[in-house]
Formats: sequence, C-alpha cells, structure tokens
Amino acid sequence: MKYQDFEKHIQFHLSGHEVPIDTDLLWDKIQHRQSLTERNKNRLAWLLILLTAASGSIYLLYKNTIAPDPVEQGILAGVQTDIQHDCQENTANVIPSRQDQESGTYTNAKIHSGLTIHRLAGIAGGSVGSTEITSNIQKPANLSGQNLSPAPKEIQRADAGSPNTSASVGDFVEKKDNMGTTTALLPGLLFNPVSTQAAWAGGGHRGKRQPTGCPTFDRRAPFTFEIIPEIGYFKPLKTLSNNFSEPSEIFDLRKNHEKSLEGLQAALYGRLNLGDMPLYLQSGLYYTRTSERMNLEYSYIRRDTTYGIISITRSPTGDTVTTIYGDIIRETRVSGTSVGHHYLQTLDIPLIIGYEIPMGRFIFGLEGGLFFNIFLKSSGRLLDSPATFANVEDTGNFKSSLGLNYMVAANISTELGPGRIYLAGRYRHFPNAFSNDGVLIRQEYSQAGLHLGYIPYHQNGAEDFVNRRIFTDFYLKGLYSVYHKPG
Amino acid sequence: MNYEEIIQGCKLGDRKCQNSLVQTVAPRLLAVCKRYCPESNAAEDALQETFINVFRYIHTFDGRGSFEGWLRRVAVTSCLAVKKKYNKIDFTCLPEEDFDLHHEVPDVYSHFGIEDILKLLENLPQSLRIVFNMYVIEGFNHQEISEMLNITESTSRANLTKARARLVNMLEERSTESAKSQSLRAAFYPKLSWTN
Repeated sequence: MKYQDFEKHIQFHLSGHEVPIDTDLLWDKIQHRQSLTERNKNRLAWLLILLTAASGSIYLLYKNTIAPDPVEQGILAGVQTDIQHDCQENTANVIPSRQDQESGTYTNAKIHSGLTIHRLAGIAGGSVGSTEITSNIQKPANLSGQNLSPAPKEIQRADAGSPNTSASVGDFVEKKDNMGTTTALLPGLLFNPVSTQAAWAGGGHRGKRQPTGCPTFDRRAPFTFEIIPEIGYFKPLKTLSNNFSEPSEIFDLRKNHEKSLEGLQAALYGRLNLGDMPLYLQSGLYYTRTSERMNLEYSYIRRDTTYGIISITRSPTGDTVTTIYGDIIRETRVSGTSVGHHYLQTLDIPLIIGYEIPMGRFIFGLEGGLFFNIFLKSSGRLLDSPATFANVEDTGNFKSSLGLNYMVAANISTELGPGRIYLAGRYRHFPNAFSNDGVLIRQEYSQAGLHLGYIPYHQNGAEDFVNRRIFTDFYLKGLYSVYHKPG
Repeated sequence: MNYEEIIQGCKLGDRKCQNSLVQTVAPRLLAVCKRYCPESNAAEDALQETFINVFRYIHTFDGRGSFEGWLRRVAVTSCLAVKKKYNKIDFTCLPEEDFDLHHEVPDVYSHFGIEDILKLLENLPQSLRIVFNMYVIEGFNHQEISEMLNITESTSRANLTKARARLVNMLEERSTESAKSQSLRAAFYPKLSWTN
C-alpha cells in the first residue's frame, strides 16, 4: 500500500470526527465568560466616567467657590499692608504698591482696602479674622467719631482727581479731622470688602484689573485643583529568568543579547491640593513605552538532499552502462545577523500622595503611590527559536494586564511663566512579571527615570495657593509680618 | 435553524442563535481541539476560547467559503493560543527533505479506527503533530500554516516531511510487532493443540 492511501484513510476518519460533550454545560460556561468580559468592560468604563466626573466636580467646585473675585483682587493688589504690632492705634497707614508709586495714581479701592484692614486690626484687638471684623465694624457709633491717623497725600489726590472715584467712595472719604487730612467716615463705609467691591462693580467702578497676586487673608483652606502634563524618560531595569529547570538556548541568547532601550513616558494628572496642608493627591492617566532590542547572530547548516541520479552510457558496441549516483547531500552553512525589537506599552491610573516643602525659590516634593494597570500591550518581534524571531502577539508571551504596581519619587520645582515646572526622579516597581506564568522566560521590570512636568496655575489661585501655604504658617502662629513671595 | 439564520443571529448577538451554534458544532470542534490539545482540560479551555472568538469575530465572516472551514480555522487558532499560553511550542529549523508519497507502507492501518489513529498521531512530537494536523486533516497549505504558526514555509514543509517519515517508521514498527505476535501465536497454537 502507498503512503498517500494512509493519509486518505486518516482524512476519511478524522474529517467528520465528533467528540461527545455536554453542550448545555458548555453554553453555561461560555455565557459566564461573556458576562465576565462584559462586566470588566463596564467596570473600566465606569471607572473612567467616575474619574472624569470626580475631576470635573472638584474643578467646578473650586472654580465656583474659591476663585477670588476679580474686584477683590484689584483692591488687594495695590496695597501692601503693613500690619502694625500696636494694633490698638487704629491707624490707617496706606502704603502704595510699587507699581502705583511708579504710576502716581491711586484708586479709591486701594485706599479703602487699606483702611479696612487696619481698622479691623484695631477694633478686633489684634485679631484679623474677617468674620469678627465685619461684625464689629458695622457699628457706626463706635467708629464714626474716631480720629484716624493721617492718610497719605495720595489719598487726597485720589479723592480729588482720580477718574475712577465713584459716588460710593465719595461718601466715606472726606476731610474730617483738624489736621486737614483725609479720613474715612465710617458710617458710609462698607467694611465687608467683597460687598463693597460688588457695589463698586455695579457703579462702573471697575478699573483696569491688576493681575498681581497677593494673600487674601482668607482663613479658609480651599482645595485647589491643577491639571498637570508630564513627559519622561526612564531606564527599564529588566530581569529575565528561566521558568523551567532545563537549560534553554533561547533563554541564554535573550539574556546575553537582548538589551533594553529607552523607556518613554507621558502622563496627564489632576492634582488636588489639600488646602493649607502641604499635601496633595494626584491621579490621571500614565502611559509608558519600553523598547527591547536583540541582535541575533545565527548560524546553522541547511541540508539539500536529492536522490540518486541515473547516468546511462551507451558503448559503441551497443552495451549500456547504467550508473546510479546515490544520495547526494549538499550542506550549506547559513549564517547572518538579524535584529528584533519588541515593545511593551502600559497604561495605568496612578493614585499618588505627595508632600511639598518650599525652600527659597524652589519647592521640594516627595511622592509615593499606587498604579492600577489598565492594560499591557506588546508588539514587535521576540526570539522564538535560536535562529528566528516571531511576532510577539502570536507567541502569547506577555500578559494583557499587570495589576498593581508601586512608585516613589522626589521632585524639585520652580516658577516658570504662569506656573511651575518640575523635574522628578521616579522609581517604579512591578511586583508582577510582564510575561505569562507558563512561558519559558519570566520577564520582570522596574523603572528608574526622570520626568518633566508643568503645573499651570489655575487663574491666579494657584499662585495664591503657594503663597498661602507659607503665609498660613505665620498666620496660625499669630505672627503678622510682611509677606514676600519665595525668591 | 440553518447556518444562514444562525450566522445572521450571531452577528446580531442573539443568544438563541449562539446557543444553537454551540449545540450544533461543539462536538465537531471539540474533536479538532483534542487533536491540538490532547489534554482534556486544555481542549475544553480551547473550545470555550473558540466560541468566545467566534462570537467576537463572526462579523468578519463575509459568507465566502465554508462556514465550517472558518470555524475550524478559529478553533485551530484558539488551540494554538491556549497551547502557547501554557507551553512553548518549539518549531526548530529542520533541513527540508523530500518525501515520496508513493512510498510503500505496510498495510497495518487498514483496520485502524479513530482511536488508533489518534493514538498514533499523539506519538508524534508536538511541533510535527501540529503541522501534520493542519496540513493533512484541516487542509491548510504551507503558506497558511506559516502565517498561523509564525514560522517559515520551509520550516512547515520540513516539519511535515519529518512527521510523515516518523509515521512511516511507526507503521513499520507496528507491522514488525504484529508479524512477531503472529509468529508467536502460530508457535503457541500448535502447542496448545498438541497439549489438547
């Protein structure tokens, strides 16, 4: 019998072969798996929705409740308050800002602001809590008769000539004392700066907005929210180990010749600063791409075999000589070099807690956190045999998700433009291997890298935030001192 | 329900049609899976994976060619993925050799049933068995095999030749064994008859 009949025999028997199976049980298992897949997809979708919603809510909350009123900002902008230790003097000491000194013009708003602050200090007996201030000051009988210390001449100028002077300002600024200086007539004065500003704003008093940052003297400790883009470079610290006890040529080749190239990273965080505390929480999306390169020098022998060649020679006498040259084997050594790259991409949701310490013009920070891996995607070519590479997707070598991983970092930041730029050194550890459990080679990673990010200040609030942190330290200790921004 | 209706229903995600498909083709696909993953658990895992993939990618079946052929292809791919997940398949580069299909083999297989054939094939090394199954039983050509296994066509051809040569050896061994047993029987029966 011929061999091909044997193959036909196999085909005949196996082509319609069936193995009995409990199809109902199988269907239940398939449905269960489908529902699990659906549930995982839904979980991911919900997680992203919740993250977006939470970020958006915090942002809106901050924007609506914490963002300083532009008029208030303008009022406070021109005044450098010099809070005297002898608050009982009840003096109004308006110190023009640097900018205003140069221009020589003052708005009544600035004057009013200065008066407010000092008057408050006097009435409250040294306390500058804003709630207390308002309640005390709205007693005109107590205040109307008091002589205030001379105000600078600039006030008169402002009163007389400033085009910004409104009717409401004129009500409370008049010459009253015997020294001929301008004082504030308190019954007409709205001591709540915000309401006053509102009144001014309504009266068309709003002048050119002064974009100067200044402490708000607000005891509230608002949350601030910042969106932070980041890029980075890291060195993948790879560990390869043989999952099986038997020696493997593929393992040896990969261990000796596979090199980790650059690791690239990009992230977009939302950072929530926790009020006066120098702590922050950070979350977002964190992407990395790791590249591996392998230079393979292969060499093997290829055998080409042909079966006997028959040579027939006829002699002149008519005899024939038949010669059969039996198996001719030709061996060819095939050698060369080949380069294979494979790439590992991860996308994670980080949850980071950080601590920042201002030091001069720099701010130093420490961070630690968890990363929840969303996916691991592998691509490229991986060594499959001692002489060939195979597509990574087909080898099933890598996992599709890595689970939890951890990170610690230290960073330094400084102001740049309308925000802060920072450089972070970060170490990230993956407790789980990137490779599947059953495969020949276990591939594990840690990452050490440098990352550059930018924290754009949110309107003018973020700058205040940095200032407020420092100011709050003094404030809580009861030390009133002139505030200077770092640097 | 015929195949057309089942396919259309599955494309729309209809659970009834999916169930019908499972009921109809599961025994046949399990036979395919068992050829690639002889271990029973792995074969059932591969079968589940096959159906998950069928339902996920059925929209790519455009009606050209046989649906059963497409199902077999998905089953083979799923089996290979499951197999690779647990165990590395090493398709070593072998020199290509010719194989004469007209090679005479002993006629011991004519009374082979399915179980005998499967046992015979299970004796082949994994890489050879996979290529042999794909080429001879599933009917893929070397180009398709090379794409599915991510090997070169020459490696596929070499593995097939090697598998065939091994099978011939096995058949010859079987033949020798059966000849020995026959001669033993022949030697034994006269004694029995003499004793009786």
